[in-house]
Amino acid sequence: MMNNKCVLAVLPHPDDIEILCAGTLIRLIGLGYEVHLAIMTPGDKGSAELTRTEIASIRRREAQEGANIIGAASCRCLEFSDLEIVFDNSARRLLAGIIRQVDPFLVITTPPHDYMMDHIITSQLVRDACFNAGCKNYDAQGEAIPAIPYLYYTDAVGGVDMFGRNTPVSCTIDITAQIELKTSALACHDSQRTWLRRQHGMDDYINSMQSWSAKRGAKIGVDYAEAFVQHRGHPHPQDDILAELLNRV
Amino acid sequence: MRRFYLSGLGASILALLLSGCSHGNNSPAPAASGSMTPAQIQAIENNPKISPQMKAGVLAQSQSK
Repeated sequence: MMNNKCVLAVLPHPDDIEILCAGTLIRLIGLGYEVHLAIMTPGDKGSAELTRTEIASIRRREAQEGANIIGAASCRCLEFSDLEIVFDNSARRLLAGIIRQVDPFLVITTPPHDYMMDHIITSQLVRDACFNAGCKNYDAQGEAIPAIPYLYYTDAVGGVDMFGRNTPVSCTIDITAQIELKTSALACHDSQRTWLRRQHGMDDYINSMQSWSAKRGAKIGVDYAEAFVQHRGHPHPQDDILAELLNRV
Repeated sequence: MRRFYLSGLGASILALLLSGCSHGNNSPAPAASGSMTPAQIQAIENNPKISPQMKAGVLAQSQSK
């Protein structure tokens, strides 16, 4: 159908990929797609005890471990800082350069209406980069991409926008057969898991991911699932390629 | 709650995820077949953060495909 087999997931923090879309990425890899991962920050504010440098070093390593379990072709950190991702021309050019370098046919990121600004700005930057990367005279690294990629947004946190309204879902992907691998990938983020385990006395980190995946799965009559909404604004492709690819197996 | 948020952004996502569940158009998507690559198996087996139960679960799920 198409020669381009590259997929790019760009999410804000080191464990967001495992929580929100790892099962779907594992399925795509199983179909022969080349999946590249990018995290916007090294999770440098994800600790109450360690310094920014210390926790960032740990979480970069955890992200790579998770990527190895997912089976990703690459995993890069774009080195923004937690709570400080901004929409400016420098950030726009950086993201466009990543899109040009990977040249994905399909991109996954966080939704435009999410619970915190890092998720919202990441969504805006990725959407913007998908568009700009195809403009030959845009001042970003690399050559202009030949086609605007498919763009999908993950679930918003809680499945609601800032007004408490349900956010849209255009496709829900069965990840029942991938849940153990997804769980193992998330378990790599031990710094976050350990913190929650100490605070709550239980393995909330893993259990919460599985509970959310089970809730999504229940919507389509399977054990576990991940939900997405497709960006259908001009000039992105309009057909639901994700559902098409993963429904027909 | 403030300390919780500042201490773990990823963890806070999960806490918030569980606070609600939305509705939408669903496309039933059966699971793909396929097994793990040797690199994935090695990444799991060599990682001490993956408990023996998790390793067993991954192996069982991989073999059931």
